[in-house]
Amino acid sequence: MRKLFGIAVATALVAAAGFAQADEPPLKIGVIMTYSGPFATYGHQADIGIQAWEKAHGDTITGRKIEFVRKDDTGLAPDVSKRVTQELAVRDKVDVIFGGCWSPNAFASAPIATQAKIPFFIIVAATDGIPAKSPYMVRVSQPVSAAVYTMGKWAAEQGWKTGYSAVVDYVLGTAGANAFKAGLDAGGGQVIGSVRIPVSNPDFTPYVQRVKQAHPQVVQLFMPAGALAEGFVKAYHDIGLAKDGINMVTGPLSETQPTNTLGDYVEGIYTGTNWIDNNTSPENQAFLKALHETQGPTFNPGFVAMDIWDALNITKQVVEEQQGKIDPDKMMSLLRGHQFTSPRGPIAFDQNGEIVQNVYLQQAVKVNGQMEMKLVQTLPMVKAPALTQ
Amino acid sequence: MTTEAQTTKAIADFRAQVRWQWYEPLFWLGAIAWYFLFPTYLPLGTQILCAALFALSLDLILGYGGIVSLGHTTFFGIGAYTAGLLAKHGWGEPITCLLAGGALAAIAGWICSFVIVRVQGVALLLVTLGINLVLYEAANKAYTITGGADGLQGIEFWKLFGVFDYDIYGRVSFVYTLAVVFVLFLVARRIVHSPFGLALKGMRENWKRMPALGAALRRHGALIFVLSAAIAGLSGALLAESVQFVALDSLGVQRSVDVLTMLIVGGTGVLYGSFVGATVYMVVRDQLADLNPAYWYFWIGLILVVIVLFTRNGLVGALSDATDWLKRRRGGGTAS
Amino acid sequence: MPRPFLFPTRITPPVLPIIQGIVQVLFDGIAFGMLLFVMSVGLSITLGMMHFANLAHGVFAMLGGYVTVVLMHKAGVPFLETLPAAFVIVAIVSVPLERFVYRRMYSAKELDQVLLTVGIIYMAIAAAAYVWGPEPMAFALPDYLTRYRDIGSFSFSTYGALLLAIGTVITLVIFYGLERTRFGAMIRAAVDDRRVALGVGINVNRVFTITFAVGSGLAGLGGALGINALGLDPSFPIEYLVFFLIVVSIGGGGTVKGALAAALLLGLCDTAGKYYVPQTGAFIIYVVMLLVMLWRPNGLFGRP
Repeated sequence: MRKLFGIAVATALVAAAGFAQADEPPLKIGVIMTYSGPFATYGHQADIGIQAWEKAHGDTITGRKIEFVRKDDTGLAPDVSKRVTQELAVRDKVDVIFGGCWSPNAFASAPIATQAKIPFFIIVAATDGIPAKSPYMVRVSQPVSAAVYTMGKWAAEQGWKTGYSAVVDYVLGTAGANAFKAGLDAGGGQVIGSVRIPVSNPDFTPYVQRVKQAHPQVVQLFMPAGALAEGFVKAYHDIGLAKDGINMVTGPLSETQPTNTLGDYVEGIYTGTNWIDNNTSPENQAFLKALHETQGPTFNPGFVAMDIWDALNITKQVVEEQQGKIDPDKMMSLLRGHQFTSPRGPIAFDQNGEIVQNVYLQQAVKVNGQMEMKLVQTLPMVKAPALTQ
Repeated sequence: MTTEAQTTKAIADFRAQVRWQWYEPLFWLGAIAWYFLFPTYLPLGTQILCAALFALSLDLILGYGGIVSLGHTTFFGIGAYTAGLLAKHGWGEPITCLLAGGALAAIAGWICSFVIVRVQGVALLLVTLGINLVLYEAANKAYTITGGADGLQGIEFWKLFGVFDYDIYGRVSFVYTLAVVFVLFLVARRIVHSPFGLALKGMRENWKRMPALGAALRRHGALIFVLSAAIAGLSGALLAESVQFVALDSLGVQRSVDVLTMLIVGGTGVLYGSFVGATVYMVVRDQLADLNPAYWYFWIGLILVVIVLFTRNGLVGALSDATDWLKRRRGGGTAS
Repeated sequence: MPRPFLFPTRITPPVLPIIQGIVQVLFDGIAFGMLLFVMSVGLSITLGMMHFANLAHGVFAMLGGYVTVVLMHKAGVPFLETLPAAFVIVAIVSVPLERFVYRRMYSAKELDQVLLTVGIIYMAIAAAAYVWGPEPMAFALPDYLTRYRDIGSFSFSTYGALLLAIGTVITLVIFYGLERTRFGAMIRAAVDDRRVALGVGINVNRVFTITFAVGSGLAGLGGALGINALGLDPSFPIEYLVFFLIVVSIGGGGTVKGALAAALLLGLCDTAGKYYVPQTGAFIIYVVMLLVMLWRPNGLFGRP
């Protein structure tokens, strides 16, 4: 009898052990995005990225089911961002966080990432130097100065020696204007004027008129993608700066492809982005395929979706390298100083967690009556320049 | 009732109001219980307390002084930036930073009060909003000082009393905030139950008749405005200390609208309205946002509309109406 | 023969850009002001008549914008033909809102009105994000409106001219309607003194419903017209709330003249500020608003 009982217990124990092995704890990923308010589109795009990635790669990593804990940071609100980061750390006990939709939000969350030792992928925020604020941060979006500096230099190399800056009137805009000036200077050009445009601005005509009168060879537009950048582009087109021989270089104009939201307005404009949708690499094709399967064949992806896609891909890769166990310090050593592949091409993180990636210079041209972005040049593995602020 | 009896009753009523009610210790015990009941919700608790204090400051001018402000975050932001700037430039002692934030906000409130007491109605909304917008733009422009939209970087607050470090669970922060809020609540309670507070109430009820009783309207209005600005500044500094970061949103119009919403949801002119409103608003928002991060705004809006349409004075008003109704029913029951 | 003083035959080069600039600012500023007027005149009248602080006025403007975009994209209706639809649909939608929600609040405290309408704004924002998505709407003006016409040494945008034309027509219709028609007289009576108007047998509620509908419709028209300049996304009612408030408060509630003057002043100040002193950003309009409110708390044309 006693023996029988012993066997039963042993069987139960073995069964329990086997069960436990099959039922690994979930891999929890906290997602802090702006899901409400004027910039809710970031959160929307992030969800699209998650859906597409799960479609392509399934919902497990090394047998651990991925569980997303979504949090709304409500927009530019460092207090909310810090609080939800704390909550993700102490209440939800997440393994990894994707967040930092806004620079102040990322800055406020950085100490929590450090205290709680949670690897933190910065998704949208663009101010230079954020990932250096915590040893547990890496950035998958792009820092302001990298692309802008390179584009300034490129513009000067095209023989456009006089430049004009039209930047949004806050500190990021200043960084953008400085980086452009440094780039143009480095290429032997000169900035002859600049305007700063307030965020709450309904009418761009006066600013564009000023640019027209100054008549530079190239105008740099540095505005948040969306209504602001689009408004300026419309005025640029309506007032006919392109016809006057004033070229425009800019970063991303819309959350999605500028040709979709702006149509003919973008004709002739040069954009420098970290990703082009018609890249033929297998990574990009897989990304687009997953997006089209989940969102329909006509869906036009945005850069936030791709940031999330990359963050998930990279997480998968480094978690697999650790056989499913996440040791934060080990994970950071696998991230910083390493190179990965992405739909945008090769990307790498430097020792400060800052991203190094290609910048693709494209021009909007009309092909068979249809607006298209045409690749002009690839500027390989661009680093954020060390600029004095 | 004779006039004499009426006066006696009024004095008795006043005394009854000043005395602590049975629910008041319960309320504060509840706040302490939060610490033990919801150990993983302490950061939320801290932010509710800060928001409640801010709402309380608005209640002083709105519920007691009858001054409607659409730009009260002006003083919240001044308090936050004062504490943040001190901490950034080498002085991070929490209590002095807090007091400095309150003091500077009071000075700003004193300057604004000259303008505020001269306008009423929609113009008042616009003037308070305008002052706020101008200050916001100034802070946005002066990014060499404020960090602009990137926020104020390099803030380092010292350990509380040189001993307690701000921990990741937010325990120290919660206890500290609760203590400060309780002390300031006592101050506010004393103010509204003083003769000065009574004069304010009279002012709100009948702007024309009070001067006949010898009340100096503008001076009273200015004084309560300064006090309110000081408390708003303290709440801003308090939030800055718990977040350890300050950004432009602390001066944003959204915050003014939020705090007004909390106060109305809770109820004006009853002090506890701000606490009830802030708690309900923040908890509901937190829970709705967890359920559906994208569309919680809709439900907040609906709650707002329902409360404005169907309650007399926010949730506290609804609560007291309900208890009155119960009492009457019970009273009626025994009589029959 | 002396040269005519006022009309120099040839403008010397250094002067020309200055005059071009001034003309440009005047034209753009007035066009923008007209747009603001069309959008906010309804708010001014409702505020004057019912003393109702309807902060949710921008919701109607946003709705008008969405009507136009949806009609253009889904049904292929040309831009100009969507404008009357934007007016009519928004006007119709506004009627039940006035009847069943706003009417209960006319005698309420100003603050409750503010909070109620803020609640409605929140609901509208979430609903718009749900139906049309949170992204800004793609929108392109028809080709003929994006061109610039050169007249002499000056160039004017056709879009600006359209704003000017529609604004002028609407202004004239409103003035004629208010001053010369029986219904206009009823509105004026109701604005002047609601109780007396009731006493002489005017059905003030009905007058108000119609006025409210027309005012909301105009906001919808303005929102549709303004997509090109202002953009369109679910947060529209919040983003431009300050502009509506400024127009109404500077003009003074209840006066069409005041709203027109305030809208033009705002449009000109905003445009001139951006053109000549762009570094000041949004300061100028806020400071102008503060000064006017302190100088005349009831607005330029308001009655105390």
